[in-house]
Amino acid sequence: MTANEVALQLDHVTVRVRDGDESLTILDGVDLDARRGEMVTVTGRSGSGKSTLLAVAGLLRQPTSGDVIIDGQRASSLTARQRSRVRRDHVAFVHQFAQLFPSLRAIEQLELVAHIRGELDDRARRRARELLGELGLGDHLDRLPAQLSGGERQRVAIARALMAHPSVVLADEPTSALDPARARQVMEALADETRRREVATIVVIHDPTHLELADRNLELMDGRLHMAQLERA
Amino acid sequence: MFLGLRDLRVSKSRFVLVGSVLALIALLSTLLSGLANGLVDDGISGLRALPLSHLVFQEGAQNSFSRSVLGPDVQRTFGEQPGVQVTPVGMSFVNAKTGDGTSVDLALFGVDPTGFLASESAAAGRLGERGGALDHGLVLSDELRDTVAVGDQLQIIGTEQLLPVVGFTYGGTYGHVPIAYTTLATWQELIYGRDARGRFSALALRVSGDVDLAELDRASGTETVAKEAAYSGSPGYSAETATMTLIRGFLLVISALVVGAFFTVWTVQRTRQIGLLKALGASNAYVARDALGQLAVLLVIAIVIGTAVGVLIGRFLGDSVPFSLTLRAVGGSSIALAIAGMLGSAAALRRLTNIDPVLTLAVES
Ligand SMILES: Nc1ncnc2c1ncn2[C@@H]1O[C@H](COP(=O)(O)OP(=O)(O)O)[C@@H](O)[C@H]1O
Ligand SMILES: [Mg+2]
Repeated sequence: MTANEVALQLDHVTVRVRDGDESLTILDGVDLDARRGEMVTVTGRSGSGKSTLLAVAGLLRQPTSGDVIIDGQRASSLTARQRSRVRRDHVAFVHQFAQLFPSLRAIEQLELVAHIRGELDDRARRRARELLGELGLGDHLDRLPAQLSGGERQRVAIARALMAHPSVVLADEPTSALDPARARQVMEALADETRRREVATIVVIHDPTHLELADRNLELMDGRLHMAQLERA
Repeated sequence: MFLGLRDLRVSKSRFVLVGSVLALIALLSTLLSGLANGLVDDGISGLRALPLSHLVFQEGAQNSFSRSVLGPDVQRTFGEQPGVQVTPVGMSFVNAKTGDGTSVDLALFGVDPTGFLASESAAAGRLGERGGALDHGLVLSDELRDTVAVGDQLQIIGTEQLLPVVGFTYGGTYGHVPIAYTTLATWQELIYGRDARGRFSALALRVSGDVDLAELDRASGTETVAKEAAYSGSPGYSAETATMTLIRGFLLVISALVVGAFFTVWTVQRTRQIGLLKALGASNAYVARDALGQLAVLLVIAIVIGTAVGVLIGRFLGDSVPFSLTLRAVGGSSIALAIAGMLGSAAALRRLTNIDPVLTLAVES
């Protein structure tokens, strides 16, 4: 496991759904590589298929054709059970609106991830504290989601995603509910952690802001990925 | 149960309503257990207290003393068997009047003062002590202490007989009527006048070892039943227990349905949370354990509270209602409720395992 290793690869991924009598192509032969330590943004209009792309990349959804390769394992060659396992051990999600558990304190949101894996011990608790500290939440360990601001919630979600040592982090519009200043903090946090923890991060964002924080910017249009048009220095 | 427990703790109010309903069901179930037990006690406590193992009734008497008439031949047949002790019992429901005109119902048991019932049971023993001198005496069960005193003469209605009360004992009740003991001879005189010819209602047995009772029954035209089986002959016993069993059965079904319905609605409400758990890597088994564990905690708390309140209410019910609870009855009915609840939730488990984590990537609208 070294930086620059390709952690996630989409190989000609196509997703088609039935829409009444017609067939609707959401993703149309998408290719994508993401390396460890690299943050890639994906922008696109609402309904362009960004979430679908993440669902396929994270093995939550099977493509109509094409393949997903995570840390060298081809999803198409795995059973459903094995796919769940690869997802559990290699992939983490940061959801839109954070999606924290209302009854869990910040620290417990992270401890839960270890508990699910049967690994909630002192080391896991220390890691949880450390991650929250890294994301500037060291003083908020015992707060419930309702006692956190939107930006803080989203940073807890980022810390939670990193808890189980994933190689791929998939973030779905993590900034969409935030004001510009907080959105920037969250994007910076994601970029920092991507490098520090050497994960391959795909961030889907609705409005093309703070794109310069990423290594690459892509745009999803008509089911295909393009280099994003942006004014970069 | 990492999440389930914290859910319970943080959002208590969410669980209060269904918890209260479950507690009420447990309360009702406890009260019914107490009443059922109380009724059973009221029906057969007197019979249960007698130190006998079996009763021999006339064939077709359906374990009812009133329908059974046996004679000395039966007593002889059974008495000759090695390993069998026998003593005849006469039993009739009678109505008696005290000197001041108060009337009391009695389950009048006539026992042989020399038989094992008299020598072993404190109650009948007292008749024996007097060596038959107070042949006509009555020993009454404690229930009647408020109505009658030692030395009172009771007139058995329908006869000219005046019987003195010679003492009290814990005699219990039979067929919801307080027991009165007298000698078999007195009982025979009351029922048959001078023409008893040794007749009595049933033969009490104490059997030790392997005895072919069926063979004896065939020989003498009788039906021998174990003591517990004879309870069903007590008036009203079968109907009462059947009614109580039916009601408690319904309560179990209601408990299963309430828990099942709650669990279904709760699961639907938590769809997103459960999807999220799965997106974080939780297996179906983990999610089910968490949810069922939470439900089990809720059930146990509700049942403990409901049962405790039920026991307390039972304490304050007083003597007007037959109410009696044993630890076994309370434990049994609580555990049955909990099991019914968990079974009810099992029906909704599919819903839980069917939740797809992909929904966490869909926009809430
Ligand atoms: N299972 C499905 N069946 C039918 N239509 C779907 C399904 N999944 C996604 N879609 C459609 O595909 C399009 C892309 O959805 P989505 O990936 O959520 O877009 P985005 O996240 O970019 O807004 C939308 O029009 C959505 O309605
Ligand atoms: Mg989306």
